[in-house]
Amino acid sequence: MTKEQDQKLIHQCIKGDRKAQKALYDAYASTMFGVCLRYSNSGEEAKDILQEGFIKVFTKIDQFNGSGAFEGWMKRIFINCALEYYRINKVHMYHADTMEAESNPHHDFTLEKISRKEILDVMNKMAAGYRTVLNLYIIEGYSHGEIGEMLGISEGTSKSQLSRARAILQEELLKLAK
Amino acid sequence: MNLDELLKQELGELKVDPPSEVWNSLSNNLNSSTVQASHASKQVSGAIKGGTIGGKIITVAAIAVTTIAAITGYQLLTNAKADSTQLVSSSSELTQDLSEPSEWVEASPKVDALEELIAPEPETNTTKPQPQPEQQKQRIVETKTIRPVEQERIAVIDEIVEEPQTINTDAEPDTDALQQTTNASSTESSTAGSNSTVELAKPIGKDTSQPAYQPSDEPILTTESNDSTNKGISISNEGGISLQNTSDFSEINVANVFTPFNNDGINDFFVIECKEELVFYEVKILDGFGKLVFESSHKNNVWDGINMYNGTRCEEGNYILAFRYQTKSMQTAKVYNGTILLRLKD
Repeated sequence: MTKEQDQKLIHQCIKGDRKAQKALYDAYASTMFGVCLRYSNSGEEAKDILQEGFIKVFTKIDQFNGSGAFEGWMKRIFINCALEYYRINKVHMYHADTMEAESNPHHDFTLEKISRKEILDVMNKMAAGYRTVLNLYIIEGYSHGEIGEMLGISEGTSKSQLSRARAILQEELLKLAK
Repeated sequence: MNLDELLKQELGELKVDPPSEVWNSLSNNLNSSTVQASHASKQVSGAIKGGTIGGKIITVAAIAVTTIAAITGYQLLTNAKADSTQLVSSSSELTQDLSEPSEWVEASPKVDALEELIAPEPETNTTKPQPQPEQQKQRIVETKTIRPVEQERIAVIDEIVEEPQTINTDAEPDTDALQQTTNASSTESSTAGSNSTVELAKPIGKDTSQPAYQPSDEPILTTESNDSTNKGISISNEGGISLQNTSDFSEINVANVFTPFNNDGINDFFVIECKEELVFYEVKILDGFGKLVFESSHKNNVWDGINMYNGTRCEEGNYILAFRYQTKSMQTAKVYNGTILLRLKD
């Protein structure tokens, strides 16, 4: 989607045009479902988050100020929805434990054949807290400071969560590779 | 390829088509909310037509502003620079623009001019009562049922409806009286005569012209008597620190005993359950000596009994909880104070 197309659609969506909403949904649903999937425990939950996210997008679309990419703006809404979802369901618990986990060996994954689906499965099975930090830090590229703010944890906790999450992920992926 | 690269490559651009039922239930959801929205906008236009002051130009301006406000959003309200000369010139520009309905959409480049118009006074004093003229009072009553999203737009309309009146004094016969009330509000003279107006003006002052939560400088442990901050009357906390809860906390459920270290997997965390969606959350936990052992501004982060400042386990005993929160439906934050019992065994 070009920026002009986006803007036209956004404008129509603000007016509540259902066709425009559907067009916007069609354009972004698969990307956003991808985001939801990697933040969730299961496909079912990802569907819930996707729906909630789109409702938020359509009700808040008039607040999109046009600076930056629309896709990025939407993505943040879905990420926030996912964080909110697991807060409400009290699935994840953070251990405010400042101990640094042992440093990870840098394993080279190039040789192993691990499918995308398998990686996603491992992510889905992880504790939501670990998965969230992996997503926010590695994929979204937020800093530990930002993550701490988003999750209401300290920067140090975010760091130790990440290194533990990495260790767990690596262990699981190596099991798959065998 | 290391782990991070693998993860980023495989999941970073993950695209999966969601099942079609998602759109179906989504569009059902949207249907129900659209009904409310169109109902609300009918009320708005009805209310605007109902007002006798202002006439055509204001109606046109109000509608155009709804469109523009939707685009430029909330920020406009917060930017307050009142330069009266600019105000007059920009307002006449605006009036010219709006005299032709076909130019509504083109009015959006005038955002700068509008910005001046929409927020003429900085909101330095939240306790200021805002006397409203008769017609606006009626509108307040009519718009009360409108959903929060619409209210933002209405707020903008309200402000703009007022503006041309104060500026084009020679155009309207009743503006003198109106101007007086407006002046009265800006000089903060809440005299006896305006009492009834103040009563009515309260809800709209709170609902619309302010962001949902206004962080106050008050330390969390002093009990702000709820709702006091935004009303026309200021209440001072003469009692100082108090741990008594005076208002209704039906939105939350605080389990005040927990056993973090007995390894039974039950009640291992101190959790505050909230039945409604929160827009603000802040929890502080102090030990018996008044030392902070835990704080969080995120519901995700529940207390596990560890002193977050030195990493040690907290001892058995009572802890003081100061919890400030605001749900979507609340107009100000509430403070809940209480105690938590940390136990080592069941």
